[in-house]
Amino acid sequence: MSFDLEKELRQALRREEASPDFTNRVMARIAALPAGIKQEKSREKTGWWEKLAEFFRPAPMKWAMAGAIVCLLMFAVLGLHRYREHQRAIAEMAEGERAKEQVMLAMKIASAKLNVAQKKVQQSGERETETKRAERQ
Amino acid sequence: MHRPESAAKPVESLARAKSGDEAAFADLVRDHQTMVYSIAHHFFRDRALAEDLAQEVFLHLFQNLASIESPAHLKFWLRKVTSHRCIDYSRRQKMKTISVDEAPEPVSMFDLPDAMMQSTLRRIVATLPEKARLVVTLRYQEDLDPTEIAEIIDMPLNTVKSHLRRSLVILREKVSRTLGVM
Repeated sequence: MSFDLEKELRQALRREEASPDFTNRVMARIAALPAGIKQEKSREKTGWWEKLAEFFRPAPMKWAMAGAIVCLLMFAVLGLHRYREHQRAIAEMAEGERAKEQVMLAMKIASAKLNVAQKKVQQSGERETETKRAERQ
Repeated sequence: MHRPESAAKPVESLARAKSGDEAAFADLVRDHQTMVYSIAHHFFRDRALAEDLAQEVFLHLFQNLASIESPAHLKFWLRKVTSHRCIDYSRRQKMKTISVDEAPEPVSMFDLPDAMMQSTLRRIVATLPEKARLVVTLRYQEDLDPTEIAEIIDMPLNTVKSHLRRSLVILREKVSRTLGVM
């Protein structure tokens, strides 16, 4: 015996009625929804900014938003303060480096002058010795 | 019950519901409750669960009515949300599927009443894996073609077709094993 499976499936899976009070129960659940959610539905959301604004509309979200803004401001102030401190430290370090370089340069100059003086003293000493030696002969 | 005037003017009904008219929204529910409830019922084989899921779908619709563009879009939206919710519910609750062993004992093929055949078929459909079950339900309850089903359940067209093919093979085999028909 053959049978048309697809035809039987259409029969078996035909639509069935929900319970007679189904609509009333849905409407009762809608009536029990918080006012904010109900209002949200009727508002047309045209742009992304409106959708974003809608997202922050419920009261808990407002508090969360306020908290987030306060945190953001605190982080910004703290960050600015830290940044300035860091800049000041960099400037101080640069100044220190500059001073160090100046000292090093001064020491080099002093060292060079000292060498010249030492050579002159040495040369005059040698000259003096040669003169004495010549006088003795 | 279904009111003919709301079916005659679905565009106005939708527009009124979108503007906040709750009576118009109730009309939308009446017009589509059978479709939504039936998808869920054929998927779960559980009246209470199907009603609960269908109610949640309409609550979700109420909250997203502004995004519905036309009556055709409404129908597509309802089928899509119902299908996805069925899969989600099923995964959350790890629904127990009826094994073929729980299907009725073989009976004589002669004078097999339609009611028994259909009841058996529904039970066998319930043994299919969840996605295949949904594809079969949308195909034979809603009379949708594979392209429409693919759009509704976000599945590649070839996967839908292969689900349908394999499901029919399985169903045919199980029906013949259970009822003795070929």
